[in-house]
Amino acid sequence: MKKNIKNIGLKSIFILILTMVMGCQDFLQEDVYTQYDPDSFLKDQKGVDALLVAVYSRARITGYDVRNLYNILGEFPTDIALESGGGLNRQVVPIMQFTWDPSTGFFGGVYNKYYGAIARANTVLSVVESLSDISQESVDKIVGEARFLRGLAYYILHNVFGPTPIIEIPSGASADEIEKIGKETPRATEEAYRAYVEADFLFAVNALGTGGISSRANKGTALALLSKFYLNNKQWDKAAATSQQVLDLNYSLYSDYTKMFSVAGENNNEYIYRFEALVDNGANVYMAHAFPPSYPLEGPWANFGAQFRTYTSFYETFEPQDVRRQLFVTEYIKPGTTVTILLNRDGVGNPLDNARSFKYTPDPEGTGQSHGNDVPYVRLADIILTKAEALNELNGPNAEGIGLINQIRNRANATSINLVDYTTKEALREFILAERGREFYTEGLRREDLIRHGKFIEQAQNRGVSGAKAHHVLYPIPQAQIDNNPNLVQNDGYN
Amino acid sequence: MKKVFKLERRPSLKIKYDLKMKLTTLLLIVSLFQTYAKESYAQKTKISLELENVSIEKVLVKIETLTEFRFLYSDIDFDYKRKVSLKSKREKVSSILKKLFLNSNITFEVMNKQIILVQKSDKDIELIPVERKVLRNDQKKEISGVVKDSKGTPLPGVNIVIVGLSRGTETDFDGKYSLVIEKGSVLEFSYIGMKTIRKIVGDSEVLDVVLEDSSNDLEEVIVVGYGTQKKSDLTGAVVSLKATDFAAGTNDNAIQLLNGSASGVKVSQVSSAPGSSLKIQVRGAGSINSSNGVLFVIDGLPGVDPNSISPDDIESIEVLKDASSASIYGTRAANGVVLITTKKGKSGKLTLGYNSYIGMQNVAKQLDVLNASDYMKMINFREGNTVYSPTDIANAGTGTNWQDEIFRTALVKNHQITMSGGNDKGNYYIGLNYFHQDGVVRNSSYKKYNARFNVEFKPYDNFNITTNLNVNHGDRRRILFSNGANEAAGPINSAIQYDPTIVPTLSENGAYFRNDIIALDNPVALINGYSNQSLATKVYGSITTNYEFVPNLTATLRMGAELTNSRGDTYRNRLTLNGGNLNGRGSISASDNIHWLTEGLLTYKKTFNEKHDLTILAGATWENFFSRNVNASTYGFLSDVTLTNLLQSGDGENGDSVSSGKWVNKLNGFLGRINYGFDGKYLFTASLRVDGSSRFSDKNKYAAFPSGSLAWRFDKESFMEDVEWINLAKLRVGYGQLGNQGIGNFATIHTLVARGNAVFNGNIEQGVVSARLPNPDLKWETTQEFNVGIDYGFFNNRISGSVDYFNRKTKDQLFNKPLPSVVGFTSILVNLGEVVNKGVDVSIKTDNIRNGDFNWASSATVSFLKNEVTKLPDFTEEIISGSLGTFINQYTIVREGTPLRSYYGYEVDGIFQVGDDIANSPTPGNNSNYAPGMPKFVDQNNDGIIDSDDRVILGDPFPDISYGVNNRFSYKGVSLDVLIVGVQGIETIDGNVTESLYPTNSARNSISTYFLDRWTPENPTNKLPSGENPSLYGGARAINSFNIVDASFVRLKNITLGYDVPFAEKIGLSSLNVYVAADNLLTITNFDGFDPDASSNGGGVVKQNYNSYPLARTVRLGVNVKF
Repeated sequence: MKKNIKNIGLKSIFILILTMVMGCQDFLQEDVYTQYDPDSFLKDQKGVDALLVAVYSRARITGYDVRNLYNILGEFPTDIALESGGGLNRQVVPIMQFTWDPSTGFFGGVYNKYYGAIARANTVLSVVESLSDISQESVDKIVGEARFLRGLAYYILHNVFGPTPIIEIPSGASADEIEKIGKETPRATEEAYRAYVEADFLFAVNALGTGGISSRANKGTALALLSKFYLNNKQWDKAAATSQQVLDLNYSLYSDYTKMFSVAGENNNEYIYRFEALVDNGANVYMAHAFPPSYPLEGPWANFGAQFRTYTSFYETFEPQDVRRQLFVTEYIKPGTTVTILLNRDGVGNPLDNARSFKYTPDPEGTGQSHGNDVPYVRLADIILTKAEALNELNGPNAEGIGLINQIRNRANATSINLVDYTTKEALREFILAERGREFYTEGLRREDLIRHGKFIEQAQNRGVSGAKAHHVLYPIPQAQIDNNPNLVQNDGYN
Repeated sequence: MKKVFKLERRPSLKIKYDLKMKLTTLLLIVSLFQTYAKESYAQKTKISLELENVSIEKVLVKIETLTEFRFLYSDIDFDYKRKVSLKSKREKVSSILKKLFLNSNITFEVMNKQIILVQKSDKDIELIPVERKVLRNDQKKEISGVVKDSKGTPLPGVNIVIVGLSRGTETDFDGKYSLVIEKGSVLEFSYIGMKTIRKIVGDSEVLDVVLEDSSNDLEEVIVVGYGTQKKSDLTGAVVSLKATDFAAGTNDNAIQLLNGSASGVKVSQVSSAPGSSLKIQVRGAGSINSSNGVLFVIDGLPGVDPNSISPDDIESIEVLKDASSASIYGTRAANGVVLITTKKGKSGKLTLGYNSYIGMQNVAKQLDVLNASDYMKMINFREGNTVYSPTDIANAGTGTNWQDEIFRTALVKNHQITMSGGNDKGNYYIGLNYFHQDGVVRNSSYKKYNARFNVEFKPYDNFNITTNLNVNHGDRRRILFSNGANEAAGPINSAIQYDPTIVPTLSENGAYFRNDIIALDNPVALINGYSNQSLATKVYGSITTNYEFVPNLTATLRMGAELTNSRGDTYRNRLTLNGGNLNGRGSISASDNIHWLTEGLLTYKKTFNEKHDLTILAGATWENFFSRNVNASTYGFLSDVTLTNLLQSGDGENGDSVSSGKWVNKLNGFLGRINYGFDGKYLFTASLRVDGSSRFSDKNKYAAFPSGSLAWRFDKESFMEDVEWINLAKLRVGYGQLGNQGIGNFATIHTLVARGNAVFNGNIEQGVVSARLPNPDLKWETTQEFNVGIDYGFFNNRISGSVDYFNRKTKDQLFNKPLPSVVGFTSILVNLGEVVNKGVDVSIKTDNIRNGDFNWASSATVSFLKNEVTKLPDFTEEIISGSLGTFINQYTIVREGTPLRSYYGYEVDGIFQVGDDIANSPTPGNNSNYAPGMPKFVDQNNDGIIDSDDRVILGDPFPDISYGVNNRFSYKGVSLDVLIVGVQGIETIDGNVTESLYPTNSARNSISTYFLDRWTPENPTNKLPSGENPSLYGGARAINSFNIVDASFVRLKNITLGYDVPFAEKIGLSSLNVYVAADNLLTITNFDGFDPDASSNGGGVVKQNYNSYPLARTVRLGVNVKF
């Protein structure tokens, strides 16, 4: 005898639950919780400001980008610095030995970083157009900052790779159209590229006011970058004129060179454009690479296996009283012992190439590898020497140029130079290059300076780097980009 | 007293005996005496006997006279004339009987006051208690009923015999019968092709009987997706494992039970750390970039972690291998589906069981690294000058073996208690498990607590409710497992590469000694200074209601959920370099996951005209996946003692870091399936699943996954009738499609994310950016599979198994198509590309010796697999990737015509010797410093230089053959199980070899052979490079045939020696089994590292070995008790 369910109520509940679930409309609608819906987020200026912050974020050189751009790409192939030890050594050896190739990771990193910044800047430019409730003044400021950052990105790319593609994406482009632009745009000509970057900086110069903090774009930052762009392109008269415009602004040399790069000294009036670093945001990780092994640390700081060292020959170009030399450590006593460790030369005078630049004076608040020292990108000293160099190239040595150089030397307590000692353009050019080395070591400018002066390859060969060839003055376009765009021509010598 | 068991004493109504009936004729004696009302008579009654040289028959008569017991037994195979002597004093009848029948083939069952004697082999008897009443042999009555098969079809011509009386009847055309018999009689129902059963006649006048198909492997009912099926009706490739088939071992994870036991299923213990997950691949790997994870379905709830269950609670595991069987699971079935079914209570009294083992584990193999004096020699060699003087070296001795400092002998314990029971209104099963494993590396362990409650209610014949609930709590302590750079690396990495001249103890000022140049942290500091605890509580279960609301049509409603709550705490104290730098670093991450499921199914099942079996299934499912997390970390603690319990004592200004997130995604599926069978000979299955996901745009929200399969039992055809040795021959052919959801949330829509910040005037400002370039055209990865297989059984099924060939193609692969980064995005997700996996799975079971006392049975699985990337998108000819540790990169390739993620590098053909014309030989960059002792790379394209064009495929991470062999020997109560598993034709990258050949820095220790057996001019036959100036043959050349190595192995996975204790019943147990087992006793391999089976890449496709957690060798003692 079968005992079957008779209860109507039970039956009904059963059917009810089924229908309830099946009746769920829009069940598969995708809900967004951790991200923002662009339509609502970008309605007002607050949203655009956040977009602009993201451009700064992408363009800034902080954290390990400082190491990669300033130290590895900017100094290790030059006469100033070298690296040994740690796992990093494996990646750095090709840079020091001039055996890099288009697949070397650092290049892809730089390329992607700055085209990312360019795309973000372009997004700001297209979004700001669509905003209605915003004053023209605010629009100009936003556009000015965005174009400054775009110009900066192209400036850095130019420095590393030479002219690269100029990209502009029409708003509302589909994924396919965007891809097409990426795959077909060839490299700009040198002329078009220069004009484009110049226009961005000039727009910023006109749109932005003076003053304000040096980590945010203003008239001075735009002028300074433009001066450097002209200088590196050997557009001497424009470099001279534009740098003079900067000198006319209210910047001044910071009196104590040895304190300038410390956390205490970083809010100075000499930094024209800098990237701010905090211990917990975009921290400066340089010092962890600079401390020698077993160095007595005064804080809870990391000391990495990778060692950033200074050539003895460079260290010895300073006059003994030059305060800039004080930022090097050449000996220390190993903790717990009385043993003095020598870094520059050993006991019998052999060069050790191991002095340590402590330029970013360790941050007392720093922890681990993270220190809070801001990273300068353009200082007034650079603009002063830019003017001096441009003047020399235009007219040969003259009193104005010598005076500018002496401003830098006097601040450092180095002896003044005299016009009578520099009778030729070549002699003063050589001195300016050497002086730039002493002033800007550890600041990532050495490679571009040597290239501009035509010494980059020659010096490498003199150091015994037999692989250094003329084409190495440009780094190669990353292989992945070449593979992905048939119209993109690789730099000479890398095919 | 009457003579009770002489046939001639009974009214003679003989019916023809068939063979089966011979065994089953019993006598029935009905007591005339009064019985006690409540307490078990058998427990109370004790008698004294003293009998000399009497027949067993006499003994039984004597017992009947002294007690109310009456015997039922067969008079055919029982030598009741055998003479015995007996002496007992106030002894229970059962114990007298035990003595009486010791060493005979007779066993007995006491039921109330009836004692039934049966032959031991006659296991089919179904014993039903008779109501406790005075039974009189003259209480005759008429009884009637219907006999049906399990499908409800009445069975005509069923033979019915009153056991012991040799009389009976047959069912009529409608399956009906009637008989006049005494109450308490036993009826035996038999029918060809059906299991014979016995029923005792009680008070009822109606006795309906259902006969099951006769006992045979094929009649097993196995679990398939959304239903069950008889094994004989299967048309797809399904592996079904019962508890007795599971791989033995120290198993805390259901995946381990499949190791070597299921053909086509490759299980790898990728890490031997306690509680770590395993890698399982069903028929290779089809997806290039998406998950290749297998879907686990526990009691109908998909997506449950197979670690969150007690293996002892598992009744069976089914692996749906081919697309035709798996496609009912649609979008998550692409990599195979594993169905786990947990145990149920059985009708009858409470069963109480206790299983336990305790084991000792040791590291199976250490790496042979240089001792202190050899290390010093190596440093002098590497530095090219005398860092250590000859006196230093002479005095150094062996120094510190850092592996000894961090490894230990560790215990593993497992306790499982089960309780189960039930009646015709329901049943229950309760399983409680505690598993505790200490790791063989100090400071690692795993504790798992698991409780399972399975209850089934059957309030009505057409309505039942099943509830399953599993509560799991895991407490895992992990070592820092990292191959990160320098001091970020973990203790195993460090123990291999650390300086053996340093002592492992603390210095006077409470710090560990270090070698600064090595840049790694001290291994002991990394053990003692690092704590990582993860707690996870997982509760999952389901309620399933089946309701047959019209005959043959059942509605099923299932609601299930899985709630996971986990938290991980990590603290590095001041003993470590990292923790010391930061004055302690602590972090906590917590997450909640809720996954719920609701599904409704309709099943129609009917047999027409006795020959047409039809089952139709239709249903719909809804699933919601919710997850949420929060992370907090800081550093700069006042003290290490508070660990992560006082994050607010950290450096709030600089150290604090928080993040959180929330995600939801949903799935909705509709499914349908038809099974049709004709006469059990021709079988057909077709299914369709339509799945939708919230992750896809409206364009491709839903996708359909059809399948179809056919099977033919040709052994049932007339032309096979005479071939008696073939018991089963079934041909199966199937085709189906499977999907892989593959993408994450939001891939098809444009969103902004908070990413990137900048500092202005010391204040951090948050930026937002476009999260991606969305592709609204994205769709599912689709796998198409063709499968053909044969199931066979020969010689009374003493040889049985199956062979399957499959060819599965996965197309529309999800690819991050690289974009020129100038557009601001480096890639876009698209569907392109194709991977094919094909192979053969073979399984065989043999009953080699079946000889009463001694038995030997074997089972083996062998799988052959070929994986090939058949089509890549035109935008990329090949994808080179791979990252191991910090500095070993670019060693795998995805290229058309080769296996997925093959190893790609330089082939080495010996070493340059003194006198070789190196200058005119192809060398890397044709560097003039290339010297004797450096490897000869093969110039594959003969262009006279070794460059990136000379790279070739050096191997692949898929085994050509994987196999498992299990042998079981038993002799009386002793059994021996031996499980061997192995793989052949698989390669791996060995990072420790790379590190020895190309040390990160000169102070790191090396695997001994790379220094001691290196090429030198004096030892020109040595095959390892000189070690002089390794950067000349390193760099991009560091991926070569030295470190891409064979990882084939044969492993004695488990040996278990068990013993069924014969006196169990004397000590009040119903059974007692004790065993000693050894896991991972022996591994035969050419591989140099800890374990060829391991991979630091976890479950990913690429196999890579670098300082993996070492394999443990375990010896266990165990006991299984039933009360």
